[in-house]
Amino acid sequence: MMISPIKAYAEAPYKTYTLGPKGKLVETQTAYEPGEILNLDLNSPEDMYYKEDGSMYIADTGNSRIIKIGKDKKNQYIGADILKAPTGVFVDDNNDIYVADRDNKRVYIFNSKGEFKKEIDKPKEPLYGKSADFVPEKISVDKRGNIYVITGGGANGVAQLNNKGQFLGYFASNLTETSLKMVLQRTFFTENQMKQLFKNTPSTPTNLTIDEKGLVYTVTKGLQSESIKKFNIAGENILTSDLKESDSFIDIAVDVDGNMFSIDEYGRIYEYDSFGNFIFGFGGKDIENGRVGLTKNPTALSVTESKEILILDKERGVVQTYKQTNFASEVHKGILLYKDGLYTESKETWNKVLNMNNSFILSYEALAKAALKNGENKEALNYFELAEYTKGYSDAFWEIRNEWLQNNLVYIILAIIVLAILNKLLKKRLNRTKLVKSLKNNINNIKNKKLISELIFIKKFIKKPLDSYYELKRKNRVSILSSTILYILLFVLQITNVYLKSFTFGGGQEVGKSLTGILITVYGPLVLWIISNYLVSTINDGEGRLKDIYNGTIYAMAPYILGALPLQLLTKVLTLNEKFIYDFSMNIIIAWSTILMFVMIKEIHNYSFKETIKNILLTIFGMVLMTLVIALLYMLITQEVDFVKSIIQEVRVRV
Amino acid sequence: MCRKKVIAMTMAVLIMTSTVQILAKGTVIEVKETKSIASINDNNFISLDNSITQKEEITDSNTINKNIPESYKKVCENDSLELYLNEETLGIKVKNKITNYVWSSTIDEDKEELNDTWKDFSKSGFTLEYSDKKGKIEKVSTVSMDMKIDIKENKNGFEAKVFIKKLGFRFNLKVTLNEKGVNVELPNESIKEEKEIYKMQSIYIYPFLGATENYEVPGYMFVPDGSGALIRFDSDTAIEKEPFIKRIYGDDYGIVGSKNEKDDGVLKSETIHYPVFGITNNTNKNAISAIIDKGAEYGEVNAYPSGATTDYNWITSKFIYRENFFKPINKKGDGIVSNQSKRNNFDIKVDYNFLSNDDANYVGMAKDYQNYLLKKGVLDKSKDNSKDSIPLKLEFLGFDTKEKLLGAEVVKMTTVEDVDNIISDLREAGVDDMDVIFKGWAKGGVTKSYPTNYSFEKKIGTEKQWKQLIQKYDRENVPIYLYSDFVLGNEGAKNFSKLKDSSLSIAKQMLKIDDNGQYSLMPAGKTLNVFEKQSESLNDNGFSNLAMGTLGRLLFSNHSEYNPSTRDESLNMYNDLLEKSKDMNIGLYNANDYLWKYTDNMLEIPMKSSNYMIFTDTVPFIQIVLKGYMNYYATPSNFNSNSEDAILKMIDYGAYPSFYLTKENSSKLIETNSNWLYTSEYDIWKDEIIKEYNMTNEALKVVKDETIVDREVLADNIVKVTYSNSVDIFINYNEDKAEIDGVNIEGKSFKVVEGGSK
Repeated sequence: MMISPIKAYAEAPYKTYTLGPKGKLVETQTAYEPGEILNLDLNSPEDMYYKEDGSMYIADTGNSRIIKIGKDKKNQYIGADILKAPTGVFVDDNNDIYVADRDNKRVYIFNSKGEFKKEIDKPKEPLYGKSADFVPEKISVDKRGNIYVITGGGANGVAQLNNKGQFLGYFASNLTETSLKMVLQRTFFTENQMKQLFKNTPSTPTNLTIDEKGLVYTVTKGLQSESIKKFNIAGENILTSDLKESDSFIDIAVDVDGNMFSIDEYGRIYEYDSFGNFIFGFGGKDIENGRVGLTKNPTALSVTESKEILILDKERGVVQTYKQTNFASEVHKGILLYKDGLYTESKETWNKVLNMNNSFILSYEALAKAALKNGENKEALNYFELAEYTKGYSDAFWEIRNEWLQNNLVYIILAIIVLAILNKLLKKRLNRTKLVKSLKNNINNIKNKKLISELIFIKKFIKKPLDSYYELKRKNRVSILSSTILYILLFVLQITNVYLKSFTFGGGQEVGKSLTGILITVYGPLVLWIISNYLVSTINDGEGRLKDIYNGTIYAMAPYILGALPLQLLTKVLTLNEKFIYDFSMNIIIAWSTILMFVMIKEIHNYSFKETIKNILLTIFGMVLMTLVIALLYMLITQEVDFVKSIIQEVRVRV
Repeated sequence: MCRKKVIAMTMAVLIMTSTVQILAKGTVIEVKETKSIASINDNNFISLDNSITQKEEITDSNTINKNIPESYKKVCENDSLELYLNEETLGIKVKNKITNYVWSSTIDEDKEELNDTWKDFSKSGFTLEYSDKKGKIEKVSTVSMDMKIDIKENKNGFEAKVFIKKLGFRFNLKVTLNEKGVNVELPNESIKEEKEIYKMQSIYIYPFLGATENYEVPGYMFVPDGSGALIRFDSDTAIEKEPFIKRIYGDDYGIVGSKNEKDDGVLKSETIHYPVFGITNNTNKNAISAIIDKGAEYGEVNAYPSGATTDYNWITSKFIYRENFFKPINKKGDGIVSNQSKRNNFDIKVDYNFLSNDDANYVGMAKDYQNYLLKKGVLDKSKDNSKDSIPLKLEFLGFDTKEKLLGAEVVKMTTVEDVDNIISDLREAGVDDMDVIFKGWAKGGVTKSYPTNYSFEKKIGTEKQWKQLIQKYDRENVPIYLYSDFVLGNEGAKNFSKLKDSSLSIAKQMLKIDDNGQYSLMPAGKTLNVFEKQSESLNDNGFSNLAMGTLGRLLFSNHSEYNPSTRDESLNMYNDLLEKSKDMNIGLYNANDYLWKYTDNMLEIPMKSSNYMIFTDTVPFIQIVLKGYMNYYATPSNFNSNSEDAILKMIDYGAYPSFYLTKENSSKLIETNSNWLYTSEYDIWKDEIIKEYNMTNEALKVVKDETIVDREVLADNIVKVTYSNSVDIFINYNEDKAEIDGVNIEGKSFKVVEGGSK
């Protein structure tokens, strides 16, 4: 938009990030360089609207007016004698100017010449609520002329008005967030304390915009997730919830290609493609004295067709511009092709991008789709793995498996038939030979060894759980040693779970997990369970000894110990289409283990059905209590340590 | 049953009370005061682009020839200058006989707009800051307090013995006139603080020398920020008028602490690497170049454009005797402000040289500083002219380590054979001259090795292999440097003692910095120690090329029991260290001027300023000083987003190209500390390397080992750089082609004109 001197190599004072593997942000070449600064004699401006024709409208809040900067760079003041504190501005297709005035508590509409046209007061409809205040802060208008107003303190979301100013309803409510802390507070606090401490009302969107297709976008400050929302016509958020986002977004803009730009309080600018994939993040707060390219108190953001980003700085009263670099324009080219499904055509661009940054995850996804389209399945599989895109990986794998099956099906069937016949023919004969006999003897000998038989005893839990617990308790059929081996096996299965599972089923992605992390997640609950159950049942006249609970617990997990490995291996040949097989089997294993656990408690402690249920509930309660106590102790001790440390430090400093 | 209940009850009570306690702790919201800004009554667009140099407007405004008032009397004169002194204020005036311009160190008229403090400040020869018994910091100027000043004139100037009776301060101020300018000195031994309760904090000497009011005289101030920057006396460009105040050689972490910087995505601003500043009064007519000869390590450069506190543009160096520092007393960050008890011991000497006519600009200042360095023997022209092409710097990453479920894994990126192959591959492609730096050759990898136990990682290359490689290419004049960092200590490394080997700040906080991984800063004494050990064994084994990170650009004091040192002691130790390595070939990164004497290769040089809003231009000052005396390289080109502009800037600044390379794809590094390296694979970059090298070589080979004589902005974004062999290089940053001085330059291109244009 700005006709400006061609800049020579202004280096950005910030790092630029993009999305790398494993959801991590990685550094990349500068995507946007700081351009010129427009000094327009503004006083605490709060909003800006950029029109496609190249003109710009700024809500010059402190000076109580709207400034229109035409394409010819001529300024025009609008509503100087009417407005008091304009905080939001929007311009529709007819060049009508909509202004939200916070102090006058009205929405004003001016025509394209800047003459007053209409004002809208607080809606009279009962639905709006009598007690609800009308403090318009930000404003947007869709193609049908419906007005969306964000009002201060309005808990119900964005007020939607028709062009006559009649209230239509609330749009885009955020859900309330409930954290564990809040639950605790609710449980333990008195009513008064509750009132004082928090009002758990949904947060109102901080800002909104409407794109060319009429889709509404909102940002909400203070939300940890889903702080950016893109609504379809039905009013549903169509972005996934795992965006890379900031919790303090203050404005959002959408460019002609549907890419979304947002800025947060700290002056960090985020760019997403139309699906919500994180593309670039850059910028920052100017803590030192006035570095070009950083911002002090950004309040609004706009994007021009040439992807020039404009940031309105309230404290400085200026507009800071950012221009895309050659690198960013290459990325944008790729994204546009990709969005339109022109995967093959985008290949060259993405390869270029990938050369510039080997960790640019989005390019792997595009290249994978291009490869899949061209039937280069192996390559696609490779790229999908790099892109960490399980759905695509599964599709590529399906293709490969399909091909293999088609080529080899005949041989497989033949092989099975041959094996079956051989089996029948040879089995009887072989059984008679000496070698096989001695082998069988050996195997039986090994089976009879104590430890081995104890381990093999796990098989019986599958067949006859009731009997086995009896034997476990009365006949000492298992020992601490054999249980411990099984416990270790459980841990090993967790590790193989990481390494053996196929990529489609989330394998290989947790490799970075630390060993101690796995140890704690596997054994922590088990230890709590065993201790808690022992304590609870001692009081409740349970018969079981600690040893019995220790042994019983792991043997109750027999279905998992026996079934996990085959299932992990099975994932190697499954695609997402057959995911139900895996899920179903896993559910059966879990259900079975739970039943065994129940039976275990009942048998070991010699409880009735009712007593067992009571015991289990108490055990779980005990586990929760223990966790709480441990957490509290941990907090208290660390605070204590900090306290002592700071006393020592203070004494050292003062003396 | 009863016991159970009791237990349950007490449990519940315990949990409830502690939860309430924890939750009820209200968070205190900090209200930050927002500063009001000065808005400019101008509705036009102002575009600010201070990353380039602006065209010099030729203004024919007559230099205001100030008269010399009665209160000043002539002390002495020589062929070019006359020195006048006001004995009461200690103010001086210097008349430049060539241009008849009178330089003044004070504002003589009474100005209404100034408040008392600033009035005193502007009228006095010096202003001292001191702390009283409550620790409050006050200012005292020559005119603001009764003081005894004994002046002894001599042939070339005068010496003033100053005694401030009320505060008990004594010191001598010496001003000496020479052919080029005046030298101002304050010897440390003359300072006496006789009263316990008053302490000297800092001093400004002749802060208003060369100051101008508002925009009445066209000109600019030169500040040594990064490569160099100008602040023009120009109302238009002002958006935020904050003064430029920066410590020379960066903050002393030993005093201010290392602040455990959190990475908020903002890059650090540039550092002052050389103690020079200047001001022009009518550019190309009169200018001052100020070189801090002594005391730079305790100096600050202060530049106040008009509009920032006063209507004057003034630039000076402030010298710091004591600093306030923050002592944290708990984790939350509460603490108390304390004052340094011991005074920093240092001499002050500033050389103010008066430049006239063609020299009265930043290029003249750079040349003046260059002469100073030549005279001191810091720079010398002993370069071999054996090659007629420019060198290319290649930096290789050998390996880094990756944490595994059990133990660490070597992530191999480039081996000794790979280096060999890549060098010969590039030589075949016509790149003859190279400086090769190899990082990550020792056990532990590039981010986790510690220089005391120097041992080659065999997976990358054995000692024997390295020796062979280095010897092979030494014969071809391609030095291969092994990279070490003797300042950053890795806590996880073998033999590293957290207690003895890390520096402490004056508030006893550990000094740590984040440089792709957390490091402790080693005390300078320890650095010297470690270096001696390693360099000996390296040198004995024939490894005589050494590249050193961090050491050249960081200067800090250490206040731990082990190897304590003040800032200037650290400086001296670094000097000793490099003195010892004289027979080695040393490469440093962004080195400060006190090490230039020992620097054979500046492996990275600042190519930009911090682009503060008060800056109007960025200039290649450091490049003009060093060109022809030292090879210097730009930052690696892999990370540029507009390579075209970057190449043009290298040609403009006379900097040679460099690349950061690996044999393997950099995505392998994702789980290591080096994961910031996002593109470095040689096969990807080969073509670009050759292209960039050929372009820069074509422009700069003609002026290899020549010095820059002049640099002029002919039109917006069109620059002419003139070299000592009368070669002109024209650089056109614009998209469109241009014709200037009869020379046609394509858009985004350059042109070399031999024998001088015009």
